[in-house]
Amino acid sequence: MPRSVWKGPFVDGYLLNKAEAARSSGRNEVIKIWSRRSTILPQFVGLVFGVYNGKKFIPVQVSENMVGHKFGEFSPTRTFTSHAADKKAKRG
Amino acid sequence: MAAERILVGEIGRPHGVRGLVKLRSFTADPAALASYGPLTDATGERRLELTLLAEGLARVEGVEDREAAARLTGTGLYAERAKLPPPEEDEFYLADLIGLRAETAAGGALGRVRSVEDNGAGAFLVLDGPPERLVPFTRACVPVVDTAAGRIVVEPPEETAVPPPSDEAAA
Repeated sequence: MPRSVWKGPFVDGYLLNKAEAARSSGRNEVIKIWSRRSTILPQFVGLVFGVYNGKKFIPVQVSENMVGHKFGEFSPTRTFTSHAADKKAKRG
Repeated sequence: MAAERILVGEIGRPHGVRGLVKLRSFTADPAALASYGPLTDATGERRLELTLLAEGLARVEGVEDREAAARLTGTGLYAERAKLPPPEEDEFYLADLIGLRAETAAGGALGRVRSVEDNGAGAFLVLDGPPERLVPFTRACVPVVDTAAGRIVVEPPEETAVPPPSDEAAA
């Protein structure tokens, strides 16, 4: 059963405060968080979080497409490796 | 600095009795494997001309029976790096990035790029260090990528930990 709409998205409160502070500072910063359960809100867009996966803090660059998802979705807890082959990476 | 040949696939087990083989493609688009021209094995001496028949199934030129196909099982398929199309602006082949020397703007060593990963939230570089670092692949954190010189300049971002409040952690 999905979460009731009247409740709004769930975000840990202390995260919201930190994100606001990071946005206003404008520094090159990675915000290390443990809260994988928090929903990504529009005010997080453009920030970089380090989301804990039980071992490491995985860098997550928040973009508009990620709004509404949870932080944990972008920080896998299991190891997956693949060959580089012809795959490319775009610098954000 | 970039490798001259890149591993793009691997020949799997034989399929049927007419020399067909299963194929494992490592490329972003599995069908792109055949478009990189004649492929070679790990030694670079044997050329392997592939014809893709279906997804994951191919015919190797000169291989007509199952025994010959079975001898190819596990053979790596390598393509010439020069055959890959040029990337767009601010786009880099992972094969070009892996192994680059990471330095700070002042010239301090940060290790080498061990891997480049992307979990759907932007690419990041894994620097072997020590200590190991995960650096977001952004212009702010990696302002210079010089594949010809074999180096990148990294400006390590500040890290701010936001742990959960102690009462929540105890719960």
